[in-house]
Amino acid sequence: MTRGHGPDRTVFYAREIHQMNLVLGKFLQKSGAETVLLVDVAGHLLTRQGAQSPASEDTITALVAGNCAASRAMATMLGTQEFSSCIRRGGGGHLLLLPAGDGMLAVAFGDDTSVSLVRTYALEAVRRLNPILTRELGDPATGEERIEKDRFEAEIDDALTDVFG
Amino acid sequence: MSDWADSAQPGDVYRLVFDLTARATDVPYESFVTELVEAMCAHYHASACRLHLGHSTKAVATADPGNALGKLDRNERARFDTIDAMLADAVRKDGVLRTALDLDGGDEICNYLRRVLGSEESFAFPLITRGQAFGAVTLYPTEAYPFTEADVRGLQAIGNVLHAARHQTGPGLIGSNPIHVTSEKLRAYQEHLEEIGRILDELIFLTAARNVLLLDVNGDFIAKRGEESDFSASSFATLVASSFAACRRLGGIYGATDMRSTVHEGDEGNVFVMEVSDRALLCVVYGDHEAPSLLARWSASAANRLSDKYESLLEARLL
Repeated sequence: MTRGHGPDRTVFYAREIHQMNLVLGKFLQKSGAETVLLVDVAGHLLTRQGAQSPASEDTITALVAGNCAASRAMATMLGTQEFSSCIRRGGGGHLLLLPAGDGMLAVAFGDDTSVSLVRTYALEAVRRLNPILTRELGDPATGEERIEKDRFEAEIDDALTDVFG
Repeated sequence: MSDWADSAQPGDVYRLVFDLTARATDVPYESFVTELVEAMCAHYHASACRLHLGHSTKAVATADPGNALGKLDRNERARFDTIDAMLADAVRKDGVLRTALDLDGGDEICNYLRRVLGSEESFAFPLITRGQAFGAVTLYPTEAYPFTEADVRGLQAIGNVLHAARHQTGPGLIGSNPIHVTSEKLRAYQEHLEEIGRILDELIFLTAARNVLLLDVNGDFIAKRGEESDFSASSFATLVASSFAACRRLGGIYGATDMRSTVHEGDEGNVFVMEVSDRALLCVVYGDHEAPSLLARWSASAANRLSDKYESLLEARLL
């Protein structure tokens, strides 16, 4: 279980983190991206899948959260819902930042896969993550889960296979 | 289809459009329209190319590199002028690409053009700006060219430039009613800002963007062009600068040593940010753009020109 320090920090349980990992693992497998990080609005790392990050993850998540807050405010000013950001990285490839719930999904990928392909898969992954992040599936702590763990795994696997093929 | 046509890439048209429009502000309008038709003739290996603006049946510029039109007798030339005007009129009406085959008696017209100009196919592109066709480019290629969506989008981008040049509402807005200042330092500052304003004006006309902003890398607002907006430009500048700083640091962590631009994409609007001379940021706010890669190249060109101005402001100790 991930425990929060501040009143605004969302607490996620191991089961929820496991569900997020399933979605992100499937996303990595389908998109061919190298690393994916799920960061909350305060800059805390919720979970990571894929290759090790090249620097301290605390630094990366803080920068992702900073960019998330700035781009969200810019989007509000321009009257659009959310912004996704695309950053060119050294040695080829890109870093794609997409809003996910209150936080942000950061995806690093190489030149061997296209931005639009990764974006398409990432948007689908975000759609799958949102119910977990917003607890639409029920709060594990109150025993109001509507989906059992094994059934959830099977269902999400089937659903992602339907979408991604 | 020829080897040349086989090797033609969709991106080629963007280079043509970029090269043309980059010069649009450096040459007189009359020279620009001539350069435009000549460059299109050369790019598409055409025997003739004409530019029509407004509702006039007479072309404002004609390129005839092989003198194929010049060799026509009076009657043949009149017939060609009529066909050309019909093609231009057809695209002006509905704003989509047309070929000679779309006209009444298309087969006969195609045979005629093949005989007198050696043209395999004849095309007319609409010039569109703000959603309305205000002119057309007619083209008579001697080889079958694989026109793609990129060609149509790229060539339509020329419309914005021509429309701006024709209506004389573009560059020079700041200088139209200058305030005379007595201080030499202020005068120099004013002149540099006018130059910067002109570059931003040109960029906004080229890209048809909503807004173009120039800001300091620390988030201090310098200049803005474009539509009136509800939001505060200085607040927006601060957010752009903070987002760019975070993105640059993230890029640096992932190995980027020369990261100069970022793009933020949303449902209703997009923001392209490009670094200018390590000290400033050029920010383009745009909606759906027909060719985002072209927008990036135009912005890079403007950023290079702004870089010179910015350097001179720094050298003069005005910033």
